[in-house]
Amino acid sequence: MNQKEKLCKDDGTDKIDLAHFKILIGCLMYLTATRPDILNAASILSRFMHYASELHLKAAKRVIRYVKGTCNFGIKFMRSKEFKLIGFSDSDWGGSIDDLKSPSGYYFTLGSGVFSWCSKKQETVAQSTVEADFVAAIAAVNQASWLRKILIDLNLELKESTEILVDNQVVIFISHNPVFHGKTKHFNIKLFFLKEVQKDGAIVLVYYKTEDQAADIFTKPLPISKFEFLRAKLGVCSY
Amino acid sequence: MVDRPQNRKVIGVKWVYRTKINIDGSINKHKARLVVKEYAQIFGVDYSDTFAPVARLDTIRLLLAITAQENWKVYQLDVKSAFFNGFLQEEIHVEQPESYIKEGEEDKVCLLKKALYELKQAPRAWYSRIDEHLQNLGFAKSFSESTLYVKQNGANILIISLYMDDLLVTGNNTSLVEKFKQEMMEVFEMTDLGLMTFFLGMEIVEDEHEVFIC
Repeated sequence: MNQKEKLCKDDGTDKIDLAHFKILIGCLMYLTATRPDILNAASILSRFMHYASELHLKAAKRVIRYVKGTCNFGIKFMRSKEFKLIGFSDSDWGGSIDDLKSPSGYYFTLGSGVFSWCSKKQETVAQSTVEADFVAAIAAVNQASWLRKILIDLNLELKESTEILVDNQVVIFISHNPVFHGKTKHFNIKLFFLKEVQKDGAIVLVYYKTEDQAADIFTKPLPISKFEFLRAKLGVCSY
Repeated sequence: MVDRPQNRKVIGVKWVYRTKINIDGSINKHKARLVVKEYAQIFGVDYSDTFAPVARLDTIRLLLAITAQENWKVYQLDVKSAFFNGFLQEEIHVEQPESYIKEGEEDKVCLLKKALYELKQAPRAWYSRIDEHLQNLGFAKSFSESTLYVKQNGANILIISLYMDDLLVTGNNTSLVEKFKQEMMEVFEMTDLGLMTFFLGMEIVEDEHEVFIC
């Protein structure tokens, strides 16, 4: 996706044949089963399913050209020295132009390739970056607790707590100490939920530098160099 | 074959013909399958629950990540005409199939014992059948993913992931996998697809401590 191009509902260009557009998006969605690198693009484009314009089609075609150029790409799972569940979460505050909701994303690895990922526009409008990151972290925590249950059912020992890396230190501070604060009082329930899950030690939030945060790839279009760097971090490569 | 019931609707059936084509375009086999016209079924009378769980892609990829780490092999099994194995809880009558109508008994109808394809409850009937069978074999069903079954036997572990009629089998003991295949084949008609190479549109390449999907 073009980093500068912000797609929105009414961009002034002509409307196009919706059936054709829907089929294209459906194909892209199907590809996301093994291609997390196009997940964000598919997620953005699918927001315009009902009022697709020339510009949206152009963007979709660019994604398809990218897929064609990288069609031997997939995810590689390898033996890793540190075999443990790690999650990453991130959000892009106010990323969606039409309703100013924030897209959030997370992914999980067991040390090598990613196996679980998500890129989604949040359901509520976040009033601050902290809140947007908070909602993203909650989604990741929920997924982490489900994954932990499955791993336990598979009789894999989980000796350590699962770390979820977030790139916002404030999220971590207030999740340990949910103070009543003018800017946080409207998402109290989420606040106390995060405190509670961290209390029993199964899942903890850990700070991680923004530059290395590969969950970025699930929240917004990125410049090529960064995109390729993060794509490699996800374990997406050609065989 | 029974007499036509007075108070129940009889559902029509029809034949569906399909040709299966190999990857190179040559003809693999011709299939004929008897299906039910499911639109004639009435909720609460002919069927109630119709849902059946399938494995989440997350779980399948998680399994692959684990197998890469542990250097296990993943095997794929396919149950032939899986839905025919499901037992029906409801009483369902269908018309006699075209060109197999018994002479002199044209007005009789068939009472189904097992599910037919396109029957609304067929997937569910199949799921309860395989679920019961796997649990009888000593598998524990995962609470968080109802299509994931694990059998632990000392240090040996055998994991099954179910996607309707496709089974993914993996574990740290190859002889256990073989034994499981035998146990399954005694009850169901199965195709052994060997190592997992193509599943739900994913291509899978397995190597020593390495799994690649695309």
